[in-house]
Amino acid sequence: MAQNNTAARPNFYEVVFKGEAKYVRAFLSGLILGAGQKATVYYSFLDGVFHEGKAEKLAEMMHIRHADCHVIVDAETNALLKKLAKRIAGETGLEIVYQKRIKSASVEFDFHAYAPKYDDEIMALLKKRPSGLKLDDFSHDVKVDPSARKVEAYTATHHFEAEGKGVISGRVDQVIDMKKQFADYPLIQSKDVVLTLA
Amino acid sequence: MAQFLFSCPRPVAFVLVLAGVLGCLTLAGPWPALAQDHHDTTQADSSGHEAQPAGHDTPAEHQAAGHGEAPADAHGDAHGDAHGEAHGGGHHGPSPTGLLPLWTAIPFAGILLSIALGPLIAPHFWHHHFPKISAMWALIFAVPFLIWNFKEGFGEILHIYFLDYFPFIILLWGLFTVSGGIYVGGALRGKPQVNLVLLLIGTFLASLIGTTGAAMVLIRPLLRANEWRKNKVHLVIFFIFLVANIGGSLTPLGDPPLFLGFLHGVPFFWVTTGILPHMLLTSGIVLCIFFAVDSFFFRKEDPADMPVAQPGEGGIKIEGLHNLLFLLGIMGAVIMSGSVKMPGVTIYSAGSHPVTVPLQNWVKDVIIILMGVLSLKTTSKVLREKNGFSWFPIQEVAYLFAGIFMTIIPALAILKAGGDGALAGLTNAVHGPVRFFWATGVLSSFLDNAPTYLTFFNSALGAMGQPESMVAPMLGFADESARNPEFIKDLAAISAGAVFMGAVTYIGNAPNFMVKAIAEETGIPMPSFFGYMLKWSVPVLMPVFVIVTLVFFL
Repeated sequence: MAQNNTAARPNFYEVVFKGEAKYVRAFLSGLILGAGQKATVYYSFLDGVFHEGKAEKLAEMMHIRHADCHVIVDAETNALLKKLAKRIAGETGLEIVYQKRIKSASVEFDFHAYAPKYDDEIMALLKKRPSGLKLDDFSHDVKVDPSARKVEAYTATHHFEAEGKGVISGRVDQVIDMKKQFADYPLIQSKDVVLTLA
Repeated sequence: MAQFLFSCPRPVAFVLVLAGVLGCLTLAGPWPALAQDHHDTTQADSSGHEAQPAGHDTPAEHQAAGHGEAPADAHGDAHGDAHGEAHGGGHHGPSPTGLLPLWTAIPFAGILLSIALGPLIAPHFWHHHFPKISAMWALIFAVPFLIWNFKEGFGEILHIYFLDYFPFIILLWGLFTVSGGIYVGGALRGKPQVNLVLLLIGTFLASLIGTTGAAMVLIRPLLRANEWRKNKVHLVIFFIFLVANIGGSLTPLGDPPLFLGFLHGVPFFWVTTGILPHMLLTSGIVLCIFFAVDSFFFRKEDPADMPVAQPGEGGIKIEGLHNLLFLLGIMGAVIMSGSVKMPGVTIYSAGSHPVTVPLQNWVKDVIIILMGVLSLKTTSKVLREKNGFSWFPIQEVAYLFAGIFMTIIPALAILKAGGDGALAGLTNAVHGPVRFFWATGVLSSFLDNAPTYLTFFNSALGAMGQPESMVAPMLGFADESARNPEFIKDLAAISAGAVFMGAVTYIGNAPNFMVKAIAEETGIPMPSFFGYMLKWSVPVLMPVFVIVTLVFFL
């Protein structure tokens, strides 16, 4: 869940804490409130940003591997964390593993629609994406079979079938926002957001 | 010929070539020598009804053969006339088709697999060519069969078409036509309580107008009521479970397998009383699960999205209610045909068994057609349009079941021969209600449930060495003393398995795919074939079926 209290900023950083996500979240909320500054924070476990594979998650659950919490923060919050890193580790036990600038982010998606209305809605959603977001590897295939317009039981087919897929890439906050819009639209399936670090 | 094949579209040419190859192989296959005397393998009883297979000549031998209590001869004589002719009219005595080897049932397996796999593997090809594929399988069996023994073969074909296929199609046409004239509208708000009531109504309506009709009438109102919701997939899934399948188990009108049972001697109201406890338990549990799941997803919705009720806006609104009268007419005709005895009309007498259709069957069919025509004449076309009504589902059934009924001839004959037939292994392996429930059910999940039911129905009869004329007496109708508790449990298991487990996959019952397609066209992302099974039907239904097994069949 993003705590979006400010206008999107051009630079975002990935900060990795060694510690459980719920403690990191509580700590960051307190830090931001205490500092009295506006901040944008995304938590990978809430916002579907790719990091660990399933094997790593399983290892964490079985306490074979220490828990990591990946957070995306704006430049000001990143600077604050950098400044306070030692104090944070000493007073809370939450160790910062690394802080890296995010060059860009991307999310893969695909969709299937069986009525022109829904295909049009999806195309409109893609079209009205923020100008900074690129749509790559996009394919859109529409098949119309007028003979299948009726209700069918044993030979059910759709008279209209649209399918498409592509990759949205650009600024991480905008990509995450786009992924949220995809999640609100049941006909679109999207994967986790993938970060490209500097 | 080659030029013709090359000029055909590639899939059609492939089908034709495949049909040719399989036809040649079938013709070249080892067809059995014609029986010199059918009584070598089976014996007709003195009243001319279908006989017990050889090896169970007498009740004592039947009992000794391990098929439970032997029925008295008197039952066959006393009740065979009353019920056997009423339903199975005129197919007296044994048939040489009981001699057919197992491989003659390959076209039957082929058409069932085509129906199962066609919509999954090549939906558009299947949609455009299913009549040809059905005809192909039918011809692969029929041509060599007629060459082998034209007189008997033609008689068998006429028998199954006049006594099974035409009544089956006419009933489905009638129910579909009448139910298509009933429109459920109004402004409903998709809350868990409202959805529960809709599914409850649909569950019981399915037994009156058939699962296809109930699904057609109620799926759109359910989707309209829940249009505002984001999480809707579960609604469609449970609708498939209850309305498109489980609900159809209370009358022969509800689901095609049960009507086939009726045509083969199962009394109309036995289904209602015999399956009611199973149906109530199953649907009760599934409805409770539905309410819990729907309440869970409802809490995730934003209440602000729910449309506000307008002043003066009514709740549910049903139009075309006069069609219920026609529905009663159809039900009355079906009940009449099972309870009165009129003389038969012999339509073919060249074979060893004349094909005679009882007059009450003709009367029933005429009444059903009349009800359908009256429904068409008296119902506004607008209501049918609102239901998305078209004749295509009936055309599908007509084409596909023409093939199914042709190809099922050897399978049924072999199964009727019981322990003496080529499927003695199956007959011996599948016995007892638990095995019948699960074998019929699992096969009905992947193959069409109507022929699957008929297959196991005949297997149960074959295992007991009983003719169809003994079905009603064994169920305790006409004579309580002929009641056979073992057969009653077996038939309840077969009926429940065929109807309930049609819900396990999209291909288990015809309305499943129809409902899926309608839901997808309204923007609902329905799960894939395996997603449906793994996420929904197996986790929800299988435990319920285990409970049904423990309660009723152990």
